[in-house]
Amino acid sequence: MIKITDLEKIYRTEEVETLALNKMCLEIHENEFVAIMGPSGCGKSTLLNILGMLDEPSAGSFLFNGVEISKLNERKRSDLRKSNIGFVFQSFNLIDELTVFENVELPLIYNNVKASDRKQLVGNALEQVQMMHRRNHFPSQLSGGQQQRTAVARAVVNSPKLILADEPTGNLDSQNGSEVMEMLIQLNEKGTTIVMVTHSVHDSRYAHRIVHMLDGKTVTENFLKELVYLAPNS
Amino acid sequence: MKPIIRNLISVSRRFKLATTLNILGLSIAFASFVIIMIQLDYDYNFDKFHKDYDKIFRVERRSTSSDWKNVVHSRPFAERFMASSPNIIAGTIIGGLPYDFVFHTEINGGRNFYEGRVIMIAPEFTDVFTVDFVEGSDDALNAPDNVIIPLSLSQKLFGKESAIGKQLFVSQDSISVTVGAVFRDFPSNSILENCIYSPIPPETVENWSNASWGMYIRVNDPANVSTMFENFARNFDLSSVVGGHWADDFFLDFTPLADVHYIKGVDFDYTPKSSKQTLIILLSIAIVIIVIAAINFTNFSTAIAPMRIKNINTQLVLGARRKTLRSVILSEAVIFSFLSFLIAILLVYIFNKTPMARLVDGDLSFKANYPILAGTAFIVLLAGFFVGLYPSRYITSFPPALVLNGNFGLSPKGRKLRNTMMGIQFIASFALIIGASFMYLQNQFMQKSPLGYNKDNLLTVDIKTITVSRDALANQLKSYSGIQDVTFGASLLSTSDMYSQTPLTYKEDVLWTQVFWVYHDFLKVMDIEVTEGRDFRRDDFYSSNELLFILNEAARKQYNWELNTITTYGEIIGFMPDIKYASFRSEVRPMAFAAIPDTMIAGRPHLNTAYIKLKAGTNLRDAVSHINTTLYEFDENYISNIRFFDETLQKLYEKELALNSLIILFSLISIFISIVGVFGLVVFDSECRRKEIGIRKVLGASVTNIVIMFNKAYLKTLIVCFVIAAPLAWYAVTRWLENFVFRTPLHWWVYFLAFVFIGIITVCTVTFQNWRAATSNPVDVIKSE
Repeated sequence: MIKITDLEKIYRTEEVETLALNKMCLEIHENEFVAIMGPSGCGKSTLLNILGMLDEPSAGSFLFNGVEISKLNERKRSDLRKSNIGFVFQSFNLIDELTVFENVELPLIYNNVKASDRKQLVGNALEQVQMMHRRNHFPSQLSGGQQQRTAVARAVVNSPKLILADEPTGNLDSQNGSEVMEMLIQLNEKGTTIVMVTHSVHDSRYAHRIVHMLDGKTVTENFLKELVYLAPNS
Repeated sequence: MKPIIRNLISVSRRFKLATTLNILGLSIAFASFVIIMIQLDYDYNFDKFHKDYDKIFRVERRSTSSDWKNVVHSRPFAERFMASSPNIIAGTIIGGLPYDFVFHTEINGGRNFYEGRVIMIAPEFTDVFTVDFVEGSDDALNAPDNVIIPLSLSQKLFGKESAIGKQLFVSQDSISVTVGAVFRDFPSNSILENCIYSPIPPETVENWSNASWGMYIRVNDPANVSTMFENFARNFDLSSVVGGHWADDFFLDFTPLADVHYIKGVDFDYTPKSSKQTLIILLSIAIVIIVIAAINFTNFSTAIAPMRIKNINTQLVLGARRKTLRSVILSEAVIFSFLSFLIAILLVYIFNKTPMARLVDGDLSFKANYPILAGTAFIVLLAGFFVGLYPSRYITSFPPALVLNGNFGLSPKGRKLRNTMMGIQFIASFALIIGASFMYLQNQFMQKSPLGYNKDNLLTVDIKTITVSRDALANQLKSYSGIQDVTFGASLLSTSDMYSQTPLTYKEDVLWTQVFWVYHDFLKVMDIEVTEGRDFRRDDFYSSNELLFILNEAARKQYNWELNTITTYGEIIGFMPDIKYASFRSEVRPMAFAAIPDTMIAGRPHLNTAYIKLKAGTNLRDAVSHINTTLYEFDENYISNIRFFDETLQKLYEKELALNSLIILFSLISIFISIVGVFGLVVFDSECRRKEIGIRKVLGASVTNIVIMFNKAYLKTLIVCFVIAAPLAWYAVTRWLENFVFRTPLHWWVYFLAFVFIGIITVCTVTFQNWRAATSNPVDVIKSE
């Protein structure tokens, strides 16, 4: 699904040039659950931003389902992103002025899904994360765990092929954290590829593979579980 | 204090444009406030310089049945009334019509000619009004050949020399009067003119038929003024003043001196006027400007709060007391406000040097306005305090730990407050733009709407000193090929609300008509159509012994008189449309042009104004030179006074036009300040919502989606504000237009354009600002918390 080769990302300021990704190579298969770990500043989030097509690499190749992303313009990347990728952030990133339902509905609006279908799809996503009863609440009226469950619902409502999770349990207590991880496992089991950046060794154990990064490149890879390929439509 | 100022400077640097516009907005607001207050002070204190001004009244005659009032009385009647009540401490009569004349002084054998204005007064003038004599005393008015003159005229005529005993010679008749006293000039906000005052000639003492004197009284007890006429009428036979049956309809009204400035619709009242409504509108605008600027400033301070909160709260954590921090932020606002006031003073100084200063009647110099400046400074400090109050509480209201963790945003309550304030600005902008547009339209209407006659290429000249026959003068003037036509009238048409009233009587019907005396070809030259009957002819003017009238429609309608009706004064030979012979303030009443046969006026011509029509494209300088040369030939002391009729008409509305222009100017300023505020809010709103924009982008929103989303939200607010503002503006405009009889229509498109104008500015601002936020990389903002 994802193949990056000799990927580089350089941040330049007037005085300093920082190499965030240094000729990094990585391949992620469909239906795989990959955890990316490493110390702060090693390039994990930069990698996730590039995989999420939110940022452009400075050099190297990034193939997504066989399409070279680094050659696409902003609009095409945006189109590809909104129909294929869901995001879960550490700080939830819900919009304060919108209700739970409206937050989850947003990706569907931007994908031009009809209003009648949206209601159904949002309902399903909220059922899946057990947040239906809170659909009319605002983020400020929810606990951290509930906010992250809403964020997960928002990430999956569009049935993306890939979910990128940036420290999804970083702001949660252990119980809520475990619940969110269970949700991600369930999504993965239903066929969604998941790439998760985490500092938590505990969370990383849910993944098939752990990629350890240092100074912008992969240092080791641990395969924890064998990847089970799901039959189409399973 | 230091870190806070440093922080403020850094915020100002970061939002250079918004900060500059805010300071500028506040400065312009204070400057506008000062200028408006100077104008209001001028009008409010009109004639209040007199000692006991609240005990001085103008006496007016009122007729209830024909709904008119005038200010003129006969001298014997006025003197009898003034002597009738112990409540009247002093009373004076004043010549109702000022008299312009040419005079000369003789200094070292040389003659210097001047044009001057004389008003006749009774010696008791100085008992009623406050007159400050610089030289001589009020005794001067007891000698019939004496005059008193203002200091400015004395200096103009005689320089630093004493004026007492100096003579002024009336050019033609070699008659002289002597300067008996010099008084300090009356302030410009007074109905009293700074001109030559001469004592009333004694022969008018028992002249009951000459009702041309204004009457002013100073009373002991203003509360008892209303009963004075009843008491007087009980002991005085009013039918000796007017015809028997008119006596029942004869009343006197007493207008406090300070209100004379505002009273309209009184015949023969030539004092400068102002409208209380217009002044109230001006005052409201002054308040609106300050409120809008204060809202902008509060919004500005709260909007930059997120960028300052961390710094302030770090100090809290390090031990600073919340109260101290609050007072520091508060004093910062007060200092900011006061700095803006200093800039405002500079702006007023600059304004005073521009042609726009002419719109303000009051003296704009600082030395004349210390109380206003001090008052404004106090308001400025107060405004700074209140404006700083909310931000100072807001910025310090967060728990420091929460702030230092970086986990805070603008509270929904704070956002709601800022949106409400933005709403107030939109409402004010709409109301002001609609109001200012209608004022502009009314100004245009007064200047441009048809008068019913042709005033193009028309010059007028005052020829009262020219005694030659009007026919000879016209022929001589027309010898220049650029002059198309010349005609004459008794005075200037459309420049007064009142001309001489004549009771045309036929059988039982009495038609009070304003009569304008004209030369036989006046209507032809002025393009006034005679709709029925005939125009005047040359023979009417030179051979006939009868007065002839051409009536307007308003006069015809009153009794439906027919052509050739012979009234007590003369025959009606024609009818014409209702031309606007008076100002736009008054309605068209019965009026007639009358050709008065020359044989009826012994000695000298009575038509004192020449109307000279130029051919299109005529060289103006040559034409004026020809007119002057011609008039010099007939009067060697003639002083050129050629004027464009257009300009003369414009002068008629000078005060209204100036006040309206001031209102338009300050409305535009406050709209500008409002828009600056909205701009600032949009900038900060998009700044605060950068993260939301980022999230939406991550979720698939395009730049267009985001720009449309923001515009929709602002347009919704705009529509709500417009719905509130439009009826408010409609009500205010309707009330204001009641000041005029001839009004501009209440065009619907003004409202539409106001909405479109504010809408376009808002959409452009919102689009421009959010485009920048929407095109930036979302990665930079989604992790910012």
